[in-house]
Amino acid sequence: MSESDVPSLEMSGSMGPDDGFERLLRGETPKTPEEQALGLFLQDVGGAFQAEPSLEEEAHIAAIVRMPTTRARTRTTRTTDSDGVCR
Amino acid sequence: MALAESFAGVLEAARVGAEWAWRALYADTAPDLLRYARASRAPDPEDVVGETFLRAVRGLGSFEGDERGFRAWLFTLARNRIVDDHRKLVRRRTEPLPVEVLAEIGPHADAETEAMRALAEDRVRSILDRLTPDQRDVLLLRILGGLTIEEVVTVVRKKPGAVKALQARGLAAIRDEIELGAVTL
Repeated sequence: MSESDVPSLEMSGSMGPDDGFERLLRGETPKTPEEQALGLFLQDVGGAFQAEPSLEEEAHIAAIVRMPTTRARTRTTRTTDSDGVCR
Repeated sequence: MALAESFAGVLEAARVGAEWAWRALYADTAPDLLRYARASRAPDPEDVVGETFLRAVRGLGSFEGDERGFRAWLFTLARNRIVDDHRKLVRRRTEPLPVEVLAEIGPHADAETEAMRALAEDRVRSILDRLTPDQRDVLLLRILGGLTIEEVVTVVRKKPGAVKALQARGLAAIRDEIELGAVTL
């Protein structure tokens, strides 16, 4: 097997823990400019996707707990008729 | 992880159907599940969260573990649902939603906040779209789910070496993109 047959990451042995990434996930301060750039990206990922479930959905959860054996009605796209069949 | 030492008590209460306990579990995990569902392009992210908790309520009797294990279990349930949804989408012809439905499910934040968030989402997606689906999945579970490598292994049902390789390659791709200036810093 020649070197070109082995993916570069395996060749470099970089499959081990990524210390910088793990530090950033723990909320620690970046140690290098590269880590700082990655840290900003991770912050962007955390802030880019809306995270507040709707109040309607929370009420839905309460209903699920009260009726654990009944197939809950989904919010907007389906309705459930009297015999519990989703349409 | 807001529940910490109180988790065992909350879980026991949830097992006997205490609504307050489920509300506590929901408040602790639903925002991260919702972020993960949105970032994974689930067709209906809020429904993923609802379905995840429905399955959790029904399946809690068979769950054993601590708070971290519970969190990983919920992400497993959410991921299974998202994978199913994506498979169905591929098979199903998509039809445009009526305007009134779009208005109901659309963003409700004020316009400026929503515009800023949409810009951030575009920026992040431009990077995440460079990754393979498996790389993206592993990294989203780590970043948004707060899961360890070992927990991701249980969620995605791959070998530890495979998950580590997916993470390493995904991070390398992200670093390349950052270096290319694709992210506004």
